[in-house]
Amino acid sequence: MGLVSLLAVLAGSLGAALAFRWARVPLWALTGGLVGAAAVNLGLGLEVEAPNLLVLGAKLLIGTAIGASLSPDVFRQFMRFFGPGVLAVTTVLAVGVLFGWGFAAWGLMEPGESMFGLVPGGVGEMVATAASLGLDGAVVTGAHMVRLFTVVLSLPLILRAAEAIHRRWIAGTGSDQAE
Amino acid sequence: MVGGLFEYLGIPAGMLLGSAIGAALVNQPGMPRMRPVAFPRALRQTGLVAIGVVSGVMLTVDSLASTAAVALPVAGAYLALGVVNLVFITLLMSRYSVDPATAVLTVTPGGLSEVSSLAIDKGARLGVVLTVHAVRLFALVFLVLPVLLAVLT
Repeated sequence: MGLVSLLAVLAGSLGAALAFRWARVPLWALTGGLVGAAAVNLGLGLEVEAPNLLVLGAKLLIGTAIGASLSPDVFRQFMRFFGPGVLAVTTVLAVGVLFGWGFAAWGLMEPGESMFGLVPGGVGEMVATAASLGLDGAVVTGAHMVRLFTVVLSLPLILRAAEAIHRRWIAGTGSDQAE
Repeated sequence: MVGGLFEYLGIPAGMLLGSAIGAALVNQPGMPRMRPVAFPRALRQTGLVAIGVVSGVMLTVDSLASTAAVALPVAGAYLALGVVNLVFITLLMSRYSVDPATAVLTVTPGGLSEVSSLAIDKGARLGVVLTVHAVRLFALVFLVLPVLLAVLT
């Protein structure tokens, strides 16, 4: 039954991923896979838990894809972007903590769930840490799912804004200087 | 192998980071008797579907019910963060001559696998994106989480 349930979830996940690809949803494999797995798992009441081998295999494939795409100058880039990277990271994490505090202060969520749900991190590590503290992992999972979909679906808009800024103020300034 | 070692050592996101480092070290032009290869796109998409499955089965009826109550404020918060991030995006583009796609993905508040895959799809400079998100992951695990744990327990 366990294997059959897992296969059903995998099939649902693959089907939804292909549907998302057809609909041109950004990051269709991940978002479609997630929605399909959740729909089949909850719809049929299967209560499937992802086997460790699947988790590690997924990370291995993604990690290898990332590594194979890295060019030899990655270490030079690392040194050059470390400073602004730390600044950006500090801001993003600080804003996440601020959101967490704000949601708790306004009574939208309990303080613990609010912090772990609003600080941008991987779903797995935030849920696991929250659960280890006896917090409601369901609330944390839900908040991160909303984060994932908000970020993925708003990305084209942010990208368009960045391109407009680049065209209007940065590329324009560069060509002015060149002239 | 590097991924397995990192996972064994308990390094955060060990398999993901380790396999990325291992593949990057081996897949370089200078390696004797080996030529760099492109990782098959279908395999990367398979990995993403699998990550989707792992995240999707974490959702329960309870989490969907609680999510419905906070979905709008959480979405609003992340949209606001996206607007704040436009400051950093502008800084990266103007001071560090980074293209718009790389700048946006560098500051996007997403997981390492999500953002890196988007960077590959959009043709962004993966080294820059990966650098910043690796710093975020380590800051989160070694600084933010211990502080949160200390405050909440």
